[in-house]
Amino acid sequence: MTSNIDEVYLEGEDFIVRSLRQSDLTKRYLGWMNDPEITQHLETGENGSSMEELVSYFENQSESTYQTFAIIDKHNDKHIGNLSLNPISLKHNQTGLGGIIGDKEYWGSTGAFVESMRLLIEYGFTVLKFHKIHSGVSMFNIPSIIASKKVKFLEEGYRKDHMRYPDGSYADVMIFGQINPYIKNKKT
Amino acid sequence: MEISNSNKIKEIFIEVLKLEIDEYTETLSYLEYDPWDSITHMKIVAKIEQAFDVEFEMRDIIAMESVAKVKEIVANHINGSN
Repeated sequence: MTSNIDEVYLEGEDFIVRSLRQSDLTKRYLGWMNDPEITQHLETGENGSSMEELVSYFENQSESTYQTFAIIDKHNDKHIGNLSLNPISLKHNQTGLGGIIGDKEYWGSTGAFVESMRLLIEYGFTVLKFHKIHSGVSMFNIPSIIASKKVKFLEEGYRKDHMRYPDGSYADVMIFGQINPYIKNKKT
Repeated sequence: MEISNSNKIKEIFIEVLKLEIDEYTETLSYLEYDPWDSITHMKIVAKIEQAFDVEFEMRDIIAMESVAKVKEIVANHINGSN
């Protein structure tokens, strides 16, 4: 079982963001994807996930579609969540950015999410040289909205009633975007 | 905003973020100040709602990204309810 992309390893002060590895596809990770509390703000995973689906998702990564990364706590080598560049559009030179903190011990602060997103955004702009990175966050997901603002995403607008929650309520999704600050290639 | 209301907000920020007096400024923002994260943000919001007997919409809660913005939103609520 392999993925189709080169290993990425980004080290921050407290966290590491590296390419997801085969050894990361554990029951613990699968448990995150089947925990409604963890997946409630995701647009995917409405019927839960199986190990086969995780493996398939892992194997089908590519530099032109999506790439998934593990967030590792440097201090205990613990895999605590994932980030993904998804969907990647080479045509438009941009990518979406999303993720989860699966380990609930790290929900007490936005620190892990902010540091790991900063690392991946920097990589996306300086190495992959995307023109733009964007994301969509449910209005009910305050921690992710605050984390998105902390990493300098700008609000671009809203999608009305874009997500449905288990209680039947609908949430707007905030659209965030960030233009590569290192290159100027705007067509005028 | 009346001084008494302004002081209420100041006390809440100092208590929740454990600020020194001179760290509290109008420009203090969660965009730049790491201890002001999602947990402390929701504590600040809850204490302000309680102190002013108001309830904020989700968009207001998200927009409260600085002390100045918090004051502006609280003032709008107080004025709007009169």
